[in-house]
Amino acid sequence: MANVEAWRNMREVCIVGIGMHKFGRWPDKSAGDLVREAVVAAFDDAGCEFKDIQVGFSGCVQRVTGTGQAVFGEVGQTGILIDNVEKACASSSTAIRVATWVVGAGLYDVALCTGVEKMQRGLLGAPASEESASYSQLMGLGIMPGEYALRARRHMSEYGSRREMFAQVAVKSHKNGALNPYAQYQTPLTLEEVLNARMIADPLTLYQCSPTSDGATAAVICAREVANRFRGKPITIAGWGSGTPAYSPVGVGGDVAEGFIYKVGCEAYELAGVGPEDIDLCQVHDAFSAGEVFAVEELGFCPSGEGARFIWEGKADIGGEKPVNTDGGLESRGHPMGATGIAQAIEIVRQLRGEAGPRQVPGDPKVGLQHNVGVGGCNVLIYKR
Amino acid sequence: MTEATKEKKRRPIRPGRFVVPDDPKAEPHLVGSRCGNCGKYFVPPRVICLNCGKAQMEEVPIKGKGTIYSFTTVHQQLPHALVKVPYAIAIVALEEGPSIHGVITEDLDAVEVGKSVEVYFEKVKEDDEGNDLLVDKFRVAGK
Repeated sequence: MANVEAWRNMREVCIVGIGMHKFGRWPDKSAGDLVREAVVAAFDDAGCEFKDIQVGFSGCVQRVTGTGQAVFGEVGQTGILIDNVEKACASSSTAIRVATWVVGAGLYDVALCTGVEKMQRGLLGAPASEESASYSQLMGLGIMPGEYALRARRHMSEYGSRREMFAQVAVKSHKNGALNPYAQYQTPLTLEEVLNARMIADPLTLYQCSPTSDGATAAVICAREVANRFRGKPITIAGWGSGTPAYSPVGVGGDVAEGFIYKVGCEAYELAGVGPEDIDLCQVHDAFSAGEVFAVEELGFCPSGEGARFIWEGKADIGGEKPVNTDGGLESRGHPMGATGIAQAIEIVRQLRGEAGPRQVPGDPKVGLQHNVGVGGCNVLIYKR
Repeated sequence: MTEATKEKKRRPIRPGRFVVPDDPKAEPHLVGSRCGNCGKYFVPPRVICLNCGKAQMEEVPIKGKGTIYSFTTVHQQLPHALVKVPYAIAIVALEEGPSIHGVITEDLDAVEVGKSVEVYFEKVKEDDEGNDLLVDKFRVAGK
């Protein structure tokens, strides 16, 4: 748990510009091509130029070495500090958090965060050959949908949640994604289509697994006190939480560990000075549909065990009591791993500015929450208008 | 060459998770560690205790008996895996305390949360010298 007083003594930090390259499959574009479009859009949104940027953080997973330097080089080379940030699927939310720290501490006034990924089709973590495979890989044990499925089956056994309730997450995601021009998949799916899709790891079918994707995102972050230099409507990063799963002798463990999101969420609520009841919308890590169920429970939007029913009853829909993954989430918007964290932040900024068009959350939302999980860690960030 | 050296040996396909005794009649066993200070068990073995933080760990055999905390049936084949779909992954809460992820390939219909399971060892192939290469799997106990 971070020192709350030290955080409150830091300068207020905000996102003042956002940009994104549509997620999808872009075999003819380089990572630099994708980032360039996202950064140009973010600069246009903020009303800034590269010379305004004092420090940079680049989130990327599969191609880390030198990526930040290469992709920033597409848009400017002014000699600033650029760090590569890697936390698997939570890489670019980590970039935002680290930028928030250094700007909040007063080391710099303006930072640029980027996220990018170009991915292959198929299961992540597959070995190149039998000889190079670990024991876990030889035995088919170390697969990500399996981990989420294991916790989903436990949830079904413990709380009586049903497979169609997990499938409903994907139905909702695709309904929202159909309203998002930046989403990889913009076609609604019926419950039957989700349930009848190819089984991956019971109870999760293909459409309950996020796709592999190409895409890029960018965010300009600055001290609130200098935000008037720019025309972008500032959205404050009000609090954050982060950590790694604690050891537990029995349970799913790892990044899907029971109680892990709760712990990180508590830290974010404490630092932001808000509670679950104050959150007007959220973007959570639905790499697999069941992940959204665990997140809405552990973030305190409904009691333990009732997350699947909460989504099934439409309470997480746009217009519901707690809209979740209004941009389609990882499943429909797409999940280019290094770009996902900033994509979640972008959707919250759009919603809090009232610029989300047909998927705008009604009632003038003021507080948004982001939950982003990567191998070995989880970030929760809370944003306020 | 003596008869003994000509005998095929049994080996884990990868080292670390279980031990195969040299005596061909002795059963292989999973390995863990037990803390000499607080008594907690860990699988896989640890050098530092995750419960009390002391470095008084002793490597110990693990019986491989426990109950299913959760399971999933996998239908997507992981490339180059020796286990073929459909198979189940189970989180087994072991009698010694910790849990372990194990593979179940037989009698999948009997797999349920709370069921008792036990480990067994199966030859999957031979190495270049003709030794048997083993893996561990779990099955519903008492069948």
